[in-house]
Amino acid sequence: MRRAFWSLVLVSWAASGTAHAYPFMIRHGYTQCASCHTDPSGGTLLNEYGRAQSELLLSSIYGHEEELSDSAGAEPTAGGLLGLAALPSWLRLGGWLREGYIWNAVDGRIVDRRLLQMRADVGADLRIGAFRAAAELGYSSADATTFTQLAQITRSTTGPNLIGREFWAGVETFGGDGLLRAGRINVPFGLRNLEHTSFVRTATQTDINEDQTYGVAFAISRPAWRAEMMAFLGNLSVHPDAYRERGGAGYLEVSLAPTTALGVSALAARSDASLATRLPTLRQAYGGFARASPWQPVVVQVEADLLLNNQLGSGAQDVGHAEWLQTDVEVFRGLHLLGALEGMKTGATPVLQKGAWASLWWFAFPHVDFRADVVQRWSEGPSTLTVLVQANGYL
Amino acid sequence: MLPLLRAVLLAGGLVHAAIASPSGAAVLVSMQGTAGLHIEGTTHELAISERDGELVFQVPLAGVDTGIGLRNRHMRGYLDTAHFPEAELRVAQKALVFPAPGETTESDVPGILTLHGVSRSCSIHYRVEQAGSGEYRVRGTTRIDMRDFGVDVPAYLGVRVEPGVAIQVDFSLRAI
Repeated sequence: MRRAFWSLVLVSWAASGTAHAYPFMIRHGYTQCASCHTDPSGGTLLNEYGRAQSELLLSSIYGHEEELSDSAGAEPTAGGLLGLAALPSWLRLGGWLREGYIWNAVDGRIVDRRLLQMRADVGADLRIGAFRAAAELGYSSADATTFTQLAQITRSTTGPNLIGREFWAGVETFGGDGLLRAGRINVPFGLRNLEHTSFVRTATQTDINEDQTYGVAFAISRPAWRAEMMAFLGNLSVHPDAYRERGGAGYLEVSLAPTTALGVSALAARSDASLATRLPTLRQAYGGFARASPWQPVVVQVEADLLLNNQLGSGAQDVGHAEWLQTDVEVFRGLHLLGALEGMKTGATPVLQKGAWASLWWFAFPHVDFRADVVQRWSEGPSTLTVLVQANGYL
Repeated sequence: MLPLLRAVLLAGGLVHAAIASPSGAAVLVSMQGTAGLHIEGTTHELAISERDGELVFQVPLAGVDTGIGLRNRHMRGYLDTAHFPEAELRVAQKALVFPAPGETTESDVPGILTLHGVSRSCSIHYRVEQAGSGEYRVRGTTRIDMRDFGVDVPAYLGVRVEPGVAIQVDFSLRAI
């Protein structure tokens, strides 16, 4: 049983795509996400300003920065689709292609190794006056079909599928600081970290890979704080309806300083049949998270969540928790060394699981990055080791 | 390096001090923009001199660092630092009140701020703490509208900065 669980975790990692979200941008004083991202709580599609920042702040530079910034060619080219085409001001387009290779080992023995097609998506964002709309559509290979079910639009069990991680429409409010929208939306909870297989994301079911759900959300971003609340109407990619969760989630993050932010999150969702137990369930998660950059090369992120699962009608309740502590050191512009420790205990896995991550991430060129992760996890059974290398390109 | 300055402060007739060059100077410029954007620019270049009964604070604008080289270049363009390289604040000496030893003074004082070649009156809120051994720690704050100084409101790739700018200046002086 336990071995099967680990296999599921490992394989789901291997097969799932990944998306962008860089909470470590707080090192540059960006406590807010909405300045750069179409999603006001961060993730995936960038606006023109965000694309420019990705060139100016994320990527390695080859030469003296001040000289480069003073040169005539210093202006980023990403605003107009890499400078290849001029786009109307109301339209933004994006695209992602991520490929990887993974090795999984149990007790030191490799049990799985393969090439991964991780992400092949296109996206668009419309902004006409106060009206906003965004959508991302992607390709999920046949191998990944089972593990992108929560984002599937088509439902082939043997062939490739069309997936849609998010698509929504809404209106800006409060002079552009607020956004009221409806559609398939990332669940607002905790850190929006890229590591979608981290315990805090899997335990709370709030990753930005496939855990989006349909609903109505309101987000607001102010210089000293940001918040988003969402009412869930159910994930329409899940069938039948009994498995769809209804409820809500939200977070509030306060900026104590330009490079320090503290937040709290809450989530409560009910389904007639939990995907895990097939029983009526009320799932709750409450937690806190923080980001801080005491020195520009260093960013520390932490999240701790309390997990409550109530089996409705029986009075049974599982109490668990999940934690994440990550340190990001930018050795030089574009090259990051990351280390993370994590823990998780849930009703389904009552033994404390522990994990340690070591990662190297290089934003080598504008719109191109490479990443390698080594993840060791321990529980009651044999330890597992995963090595993943990946290359990512995006428009 | 800050130039060595000497000025004589007559503060409400209570304090008569010879002041050496400011130390630990920090000028912080804060702006807000679209969707919660917060931008801070900093410089440690601050010169203080005395001229015709006024204290004159001068900050070279080309040295203000916003954390991004290109943004610095844009800022220098909006401020036209090639033609207007400094911001200057003039405050009448007699309007300032310095605290007695071990005490703190906090008050508002009128001043004339010159930026982008345009001079406008403004109100400065200041706080002076005499930390002991003749050292004064000074913080002054004000808020301006960049449009009053003929500075275009910056906008870049869909992100717009609000015209209101908060300015904070910290420095220490030592009586000799």
